[in-house]
Amino acid sequence: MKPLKIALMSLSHGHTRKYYQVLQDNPKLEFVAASAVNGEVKKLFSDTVKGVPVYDSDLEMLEAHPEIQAVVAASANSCHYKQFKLCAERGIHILSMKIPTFDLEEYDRMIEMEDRAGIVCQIELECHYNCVMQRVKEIIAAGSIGRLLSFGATNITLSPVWAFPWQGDPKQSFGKVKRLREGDSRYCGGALCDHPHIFDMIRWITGSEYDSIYAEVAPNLRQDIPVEDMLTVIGRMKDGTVFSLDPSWSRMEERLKVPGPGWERYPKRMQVDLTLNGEKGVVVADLFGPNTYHNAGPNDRYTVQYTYFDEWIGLIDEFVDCIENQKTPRINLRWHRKTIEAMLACYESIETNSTITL
Amino acid sequence: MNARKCFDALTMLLDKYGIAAPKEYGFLCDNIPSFRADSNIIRLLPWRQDRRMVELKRMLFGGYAGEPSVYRATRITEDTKDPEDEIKRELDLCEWIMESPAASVCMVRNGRAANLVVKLESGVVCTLEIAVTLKSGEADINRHEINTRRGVLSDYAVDTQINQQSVYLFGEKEEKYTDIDFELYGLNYYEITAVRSAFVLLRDDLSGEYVQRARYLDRLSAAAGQSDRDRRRIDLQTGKA
Repeated sequence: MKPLKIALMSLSHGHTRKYYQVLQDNPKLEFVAASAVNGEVKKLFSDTVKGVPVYDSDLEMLEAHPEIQAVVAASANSCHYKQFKLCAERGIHILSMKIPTFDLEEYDRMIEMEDRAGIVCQIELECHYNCVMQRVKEIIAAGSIGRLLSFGATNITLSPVWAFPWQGDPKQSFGKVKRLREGDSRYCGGALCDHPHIFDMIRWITGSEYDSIYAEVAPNLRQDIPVEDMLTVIGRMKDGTVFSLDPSWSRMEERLKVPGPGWERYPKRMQVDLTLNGEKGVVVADLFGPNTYHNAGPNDRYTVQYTYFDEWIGLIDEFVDCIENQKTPRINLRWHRKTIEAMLACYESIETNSTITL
Repeated sequence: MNARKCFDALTMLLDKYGIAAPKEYGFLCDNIPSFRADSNIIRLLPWRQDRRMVELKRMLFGGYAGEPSVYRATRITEDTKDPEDEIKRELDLCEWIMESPAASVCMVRNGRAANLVVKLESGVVCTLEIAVTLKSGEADINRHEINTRRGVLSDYAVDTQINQQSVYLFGEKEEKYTDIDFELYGLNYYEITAVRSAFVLLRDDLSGEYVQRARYLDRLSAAAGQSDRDRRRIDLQTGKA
């Protein structure tokens, strides 16, 4: 099969630079063009990626390259709907970042557009293509720990807001400006919006859906951002499994405008850990490792150095396979809606100080 | 836990440090051990003698850390233990380490596993993940972490999932050892912390405090149980949602 002609939109998402590598290296793809949301990211792209033209708007790019078959919408959450519409109208397949939109009416319109246009929309939840996650799924499916009693997971990182300011802007991250709760100076749009993976993973591992959620927001570690950075979530699935999820930005960072060496103040900048208790045993897993370590430059600070992230190999393989063979991706818009609903329920729980039943 | 070993160890410490002993005393080796001092039975707080917990508290209030935001604890232990007791242990630890009483509690429980969110009067939010699901003889999994504005304090190393042991023996038999107390060498973790707790109780005359604390923890864990049954957060001042 000929490589899929793919473009990269906006260049403002945290995973953008990963896609510079992915779109160039994967033999199933031909990286055709990019569009930049501002001059700064355009320059960064031009300095880094050679031979791929970059345009000042999505429309300009799509009109200059009618051969584009698919896009990666590497943009702020608030831009996704407009980009989705633009692509659906042209029959262009979409690899969407992890939050298509928090507005459920918009979300349902995106599903309708996808159906009408007959395009493939896959959501970028790359942990599904992680080999440790694969192993955990096999262990659970084999019944090695018996019936699951509890599911604990962390999806904790440093905060990306200094490098990707939209993630600290409630309107761009959450889609609207909404206070966390009465009397609180903070708004929805912070760490919770950045960390959907574990809200999705529990659905896969248990095969069940959310029954109830209780979330509590803690005092910010970063007092100068308008959104939440620390929160905790517990609840119950319909099959009785109880859960505890930590989607915080609990690892402190140097406030770099461009992520790079020296970003970490806490040694490990990103962590997805699972702790599963079953009737017959326990599984503890770390999705990212084994790693290397140093306390060398630039800050002589003890740092965990990850070795490689190969999740995007499986993710792109599935995306291309679904396009070529007219299949629906595992993580598709319809599937993902309940994950978004659960995340919205967290905000509702925080606002009302109550347990939300789904 | 061996009550005789604990008795002998405590007697040695009391003699060594010149602390008056009750006429009759001994240990009741329940999941949370109790100390019998003459006709009184006092439930101990042995986890407060765990040197890692002492050090976490010292780091938090000793100028290393910034203002705390979140406290997280995971405790997974043997399936022969009583989950209620483990819940009380972690409730006590979070209040004691953070030096603030609980203002509200929300719990979800599924048999031998429970997750709690406790908001302290100080505003710190605590998450406690408890399970009694390990097989007998397997090492406990303990992870305690405090997120502060200056950094993270924890009792487990970065990039690890379970606690390191001090000695690993490979050979015909594989063995692991973690010895934590020179004076009480030969006792296990539970015996050591029970003996140290009883020693402190006698040395500092803490009987009254321990008895009150045991009653308080019973009430707090009952509130957590109520939260789980009613599927709502409990405000500990009002008893309401």
